Amino acid sequence: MGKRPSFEKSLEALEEIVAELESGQLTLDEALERYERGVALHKACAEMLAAAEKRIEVLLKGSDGELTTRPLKADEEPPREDES
Amino acid sequence: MEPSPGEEVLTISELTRRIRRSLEEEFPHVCVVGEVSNLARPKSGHVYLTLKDGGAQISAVLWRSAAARLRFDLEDGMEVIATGSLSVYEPRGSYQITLSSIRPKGLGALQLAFVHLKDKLEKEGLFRPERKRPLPYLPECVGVVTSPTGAALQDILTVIARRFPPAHVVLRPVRVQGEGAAAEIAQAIEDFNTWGGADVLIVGRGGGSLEDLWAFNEEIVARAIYASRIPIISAVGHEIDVTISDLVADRRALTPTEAAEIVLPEFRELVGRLGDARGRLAAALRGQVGLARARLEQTRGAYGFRVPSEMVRRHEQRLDDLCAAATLATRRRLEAARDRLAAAAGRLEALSPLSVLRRGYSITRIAGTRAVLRDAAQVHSGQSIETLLHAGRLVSQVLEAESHGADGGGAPRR
Repeated sequence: MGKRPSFEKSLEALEEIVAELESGQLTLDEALERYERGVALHKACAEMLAAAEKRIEVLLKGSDGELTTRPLKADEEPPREDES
Repeated sequence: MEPSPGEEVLTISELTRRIRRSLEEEFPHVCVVGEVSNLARPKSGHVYLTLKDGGAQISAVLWRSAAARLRFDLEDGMEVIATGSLSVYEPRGSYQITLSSIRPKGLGALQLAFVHLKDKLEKEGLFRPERKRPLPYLPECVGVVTSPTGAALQDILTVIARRFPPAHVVLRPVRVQGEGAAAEIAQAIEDFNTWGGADVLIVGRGGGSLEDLWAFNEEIVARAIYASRIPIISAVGHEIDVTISDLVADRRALTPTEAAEIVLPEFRELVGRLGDARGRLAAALRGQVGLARARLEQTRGAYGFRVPSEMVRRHEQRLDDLCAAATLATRRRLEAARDRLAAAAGRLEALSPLSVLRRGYSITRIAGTRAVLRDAAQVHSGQSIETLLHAGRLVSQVLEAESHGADGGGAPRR
């Protein structure tokens, strides 16, 4: 966890860049540099959203204490804490 | 059975009146302790109830004016201390306490335990606001600790499916009430920390009585929440009662539904925000470039820029002129050179031995050599000589060679 910049941080950085660009206070060089960074941030954000994938799972603990997940089927009654 | 002579015969009403007088005189003011039951609140605003203990019960009434002064919610099962006076309701032949005041009798055992634990954990700093961690804005995986069969899970899944359809949710099923529930909840929180796959947890259940919610008031759960490295949203019941879990957790949701609303942002809104930022990014850059271009245009038209450019144009013209002159001069020199060349070629032609031959002269050489004859003394009679004509050549034999010394006399050779 926390291995890469969070979506929120990236989106905020992107919006800051947009605001800076819109302020018109930048030199052309700076504007181009910001724009490139903005495009990269947008790409990263879009990829993060695209990577999200619907999964509903159950975390189970085996008799050996091993924690594993398996899908929770829609109409299934989820298992109780294991009664082993 | 006939009444005895002299025995007083009473009507029911008379008897009831006497009972009433007697009771009211005997018990003008009573203060009782008991448990509330059969609570009824008709539209009139009066409150009817039964007060009881293990061995007996008595009806009680709280007139509208007294009921309005209550500062707590009167509930069935509540232990109360009530004051009032006894009265008889004649039409039904029943007696009751007309209450003037009523208040809860101390705290129940659970409430006492709650207060003690709350004080203890508060002193230890488990509720400190600065300890609360921010929740991840966009968790990759949401862990849920609740009953697999409860409404809480359904509520959470429903809201998440609406807000953020591609969410990843992992449930750790536990019992949320009854013996051992607290230990299961605590273990589940620990398991999520061991597993490490979730980046935020929702721990909770739907509403219920204080007893139902009790697991979330137990120390073992509070400790587990405190020890968790993963931020936790506590979502217990329906907002009336705060639980210890609510106080320790990084964030309190009033209901499981609210927890689901807190835990994930609205997917559509994110996509919209992202798209909007992209559009504005491009537009802003175009604007910036446009601005720069406009400034450039403006500068180029400025006087300061026109003067040098005029100078440049003059220089350019001069250069063009020079260029043209140079070209012309070069061409002339070239023509002169060509003329000289032609003249030289003409002279060369005139001097060529070949053109001499054309005019009838010939060249004579000693045959087999390249030696040209200029003097008869060079040959003797009988020797072969070769004569080159304008067209063709002759080989002939010298019959006679007579030198007279063109240059003043070489001796004839034989």
